Amino acid sequence: MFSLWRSLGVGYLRRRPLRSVLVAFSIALGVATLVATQSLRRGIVQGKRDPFSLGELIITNGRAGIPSALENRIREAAIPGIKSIHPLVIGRALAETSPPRSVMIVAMDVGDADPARSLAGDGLEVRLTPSAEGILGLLSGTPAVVGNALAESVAGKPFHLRVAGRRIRCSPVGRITTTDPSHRLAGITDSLVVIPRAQASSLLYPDKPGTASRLDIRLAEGALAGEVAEGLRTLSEGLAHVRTTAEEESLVGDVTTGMELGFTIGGIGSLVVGLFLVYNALAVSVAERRKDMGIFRSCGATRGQLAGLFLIEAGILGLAGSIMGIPLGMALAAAVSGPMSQALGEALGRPLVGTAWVVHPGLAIAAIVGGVGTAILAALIPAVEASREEPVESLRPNPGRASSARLWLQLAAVVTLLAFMAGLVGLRHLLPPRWGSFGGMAVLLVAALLATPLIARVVGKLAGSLAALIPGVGFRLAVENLARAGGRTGLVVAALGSTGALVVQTSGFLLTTQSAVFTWVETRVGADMFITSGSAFSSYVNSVSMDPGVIPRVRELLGSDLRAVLGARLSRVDHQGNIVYLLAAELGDKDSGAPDHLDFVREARRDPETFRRGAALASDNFVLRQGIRPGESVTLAGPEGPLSIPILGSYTDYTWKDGTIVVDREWYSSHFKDNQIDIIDIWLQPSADRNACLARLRAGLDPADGLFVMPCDTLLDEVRKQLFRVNNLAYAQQAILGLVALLGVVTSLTISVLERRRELGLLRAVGATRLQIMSSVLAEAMLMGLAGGMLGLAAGWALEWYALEVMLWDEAGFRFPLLFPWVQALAMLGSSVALATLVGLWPAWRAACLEIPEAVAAE
Amino acid sequence: MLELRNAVRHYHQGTRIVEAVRGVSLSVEKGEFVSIMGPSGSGKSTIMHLMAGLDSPTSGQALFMGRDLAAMRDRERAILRRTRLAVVFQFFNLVPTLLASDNVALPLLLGGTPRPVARGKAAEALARVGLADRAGHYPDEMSGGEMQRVALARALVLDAEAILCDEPTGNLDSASSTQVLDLLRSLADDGSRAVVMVTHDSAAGARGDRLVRIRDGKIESIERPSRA
Repeated sequence: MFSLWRSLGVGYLRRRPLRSVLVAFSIALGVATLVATQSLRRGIVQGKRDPFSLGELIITNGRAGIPSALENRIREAAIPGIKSIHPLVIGRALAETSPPRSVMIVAMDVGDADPARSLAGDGLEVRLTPSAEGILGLLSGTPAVVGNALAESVAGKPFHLRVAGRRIRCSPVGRITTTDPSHRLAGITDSLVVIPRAQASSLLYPDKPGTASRLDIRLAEGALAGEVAEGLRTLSEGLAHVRTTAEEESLVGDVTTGMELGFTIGGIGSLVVGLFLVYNALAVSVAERRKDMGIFRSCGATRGQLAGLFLIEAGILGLAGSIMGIPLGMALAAAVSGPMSQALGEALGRPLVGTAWVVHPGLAIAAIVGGVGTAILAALIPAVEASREEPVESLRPNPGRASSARLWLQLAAVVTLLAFMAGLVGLRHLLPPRWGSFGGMAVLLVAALLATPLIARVVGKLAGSLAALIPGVGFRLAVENLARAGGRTGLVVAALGSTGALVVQTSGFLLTTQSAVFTWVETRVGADMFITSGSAFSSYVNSVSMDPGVIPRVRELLGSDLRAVLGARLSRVDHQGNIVYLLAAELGDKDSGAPDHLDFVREARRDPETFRRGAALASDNFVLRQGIRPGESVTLAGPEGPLSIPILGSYTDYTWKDGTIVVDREWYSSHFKDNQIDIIDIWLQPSADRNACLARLRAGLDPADGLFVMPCDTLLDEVRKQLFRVNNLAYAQQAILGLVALLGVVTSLTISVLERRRELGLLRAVGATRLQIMSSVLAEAMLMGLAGGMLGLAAGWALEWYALEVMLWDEAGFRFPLLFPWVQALAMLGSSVALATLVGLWPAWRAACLEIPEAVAAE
Repeated sequence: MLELRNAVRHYHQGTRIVEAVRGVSLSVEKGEFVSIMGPSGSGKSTIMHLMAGLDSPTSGQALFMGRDLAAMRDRERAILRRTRLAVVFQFFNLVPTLLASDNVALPLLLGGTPRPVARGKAAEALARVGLADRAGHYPDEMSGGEMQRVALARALVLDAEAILCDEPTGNLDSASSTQVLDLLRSLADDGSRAVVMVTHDSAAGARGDRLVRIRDGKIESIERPSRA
């Protein structure tokens, strides 16, 4: 068989290089998208790993930390199955360098941790680098092992660490670096400072001496995690949460799960679109080679040999495409990973660490299998159909039409898929999370792809009947040709349409969410400026806690220009297995505190006493997603036991997908033993000169506090850029999909010209000019672009509605009024028409160059 | 060797039923050269297709060496066409993406013959038809006559017992036609093959041992032309 294929298949591929390249390239683009999305997804999954994990279980309570009393209780309980307990203190501080820099403090008791699990080991290097000043500094300072960036900054000299006005003096005695870029700590070692536990705890938890940020529990060999966890939960009821490391990583990383799923669907979707286009190209190739097949059959080829010939050809093209697609996918991942890393780090609440955007060998194999499999799958139906035709039929000039049985089968498949989609969406609350919403979208896309050729036939027939009314021979011929070849052009139009739909859906989703959130920020929050420490508000993951004493300094500096000021502490807390935000806000009084236009301020001031005694307000999406009604209570783990917090009412807040709870900051401070703040919101008088106020603040605040003052419009700009960066991959996917679709246009038109050779020759023979012929083909291209664009508009609107009403509602409980992205949609439509026409130039030129005798001699 | 027994062939054209062949009985023996002539649409090509096993009769039988072609499985008929029975058409004889040598070697390759062996035999066959120097050329680099001779070389390479030709000279100039007809005549004259040729050219038809005239799907007459 190989000898046969070598003679027959290679000959064809060599003589039809363009067709072969088009098919291989379609596969390459699909594989590239798959490789890029999967390597990015893998990078995210790696990046979500807990960088400090020392055990199989973790006891944590967000920012409240683990009180020493609980730690002692757990140690004394000697729960069977626990090998060792490792308290960690982790937090951010300012290193008083010039300029001040935000660093991550880590203090741990490694003890007898398994070296394979400890932070040291392969890929991490700790070197002691004592300098004379450093050693002397130990006499009055804390020993510190620092990362490279800080080490170079302090150059061996003692330095101060500062958090919310408190300072400790540190002496650098060593350097910590990662030599393996995939190490869990890679990416944060540069800004790491390792100091003794006592000092770290006093700096980060000044009102709760001995508090640890978490306890990592190492299990003895053979111990059952579930049993040990149960024992720990009994001891820590109301004080902390016990989870496995995997559960903790999953909880923290849940915010990107939707995105990962989107990447996967996008990758597979590109391959599916590629499959349809390759099927299209191969089906037409089979049609073109009908006479070749007649010759093969008349020379004694069996059906199996004929089918095998096409399948092997497809497999070879698929392999070539896959090999091209892997480096293309790596390049794509590298191009989008940088901007996305920062945005994803913000979403996760910690920098992405140990992230290596490389192609795993398993992924490369999967990509090749996927590419070859797609090509063979695409060739299956054409190959079987080719082998089924009788030799004498193959030799007849006019092929038979597509059987009605096949059309009915296609229709049945579409109806079945739509019913399945409706079931997935309707019953999604009974399915595992996201199965219904994401699965429904995937099924909808496949159904749309299958349905488009059917729709194209119907539209084609309608258009065909109206063709006589169309002025101009060129357009009329183009419409008639499209009507005749609905099956062939329908798939190409579907591919163009799916690209357009995704562009409209992504733009519309961004526009709607941006508009709703920004409007909320500008009107309902409406602060003129925000102050944070360590980093700007837009890069929250690196920010450091502040001393509330900054607020009076702000009042002093702004004087009568100040309308209102609000200091707040923002924590992530665990509520029934979900991470929610706890906002502790200092409301102050009406004259000098937070302004009334803030929803939660207005609500809280209806009953300020109850609020001060520990009641809370919850965001609308919290109430919805957690199923808590106003009047009911939520229970959070506190440093001294569970805290029952009654919910007074709800308000609109788009801060977090799982919801936000607002409490009084004084109450929070006394019950959580935490007086620090994270952010100060400032409202100016309408008559105030904003730039002058900004300058006064920047000049007047203590630079050692490392404070950032950010105007609201700058913040919104930064957020806008971040949203764009996160969607980089979606845009890249859509660009690739568009390229694949345009390849489909070229293929379809090339084939159309081949099929119409005689017709075009006759047109020329009766007087059509080359320009008229060219215009006819270009008109066909333009109409395909127009049809694809119009389909994209309609489908994009539907997808946007689905993304907002089903997916966003499920993910975050937010409901935004749909805004249609007219600008982007019309740009998409115009681009679809323009690009399709552009790529149609070459087939059009070929058609115009046909010599009349040669063309009419065909057949 | 080749025989049609009361063969009938109908086929559908939209809602119309076309009776292409209406009860034709004809036999061709080894060493015989039979021409089938008739006007356009008379059914002569269909008769050839039935005899070659490319098509099956609606009723009646098409036999090769006494075996009913329609009763064979498709695979058996395919093997027959690559070992014992060769077909030459007016157009589309050659695969445009294959060299002449590969076109000639096609039946051998389909039968699993190693490529070098198949190409060697193809070269010999091409030499017999006077085209040894065209082995490395593609069909679109050859004249019509050369293409038809390459198709005949393919019949020679498998040493077919029956050669069926549908208008082999219909697209050729007179010189090329003469060459092809001479070749066909010589293939029948060596006594080991049956040759059937469908033609609308009376001069070509006169080259055969028998001339079968077809009209409206039936045999109108059978003549023995005098050979010059």
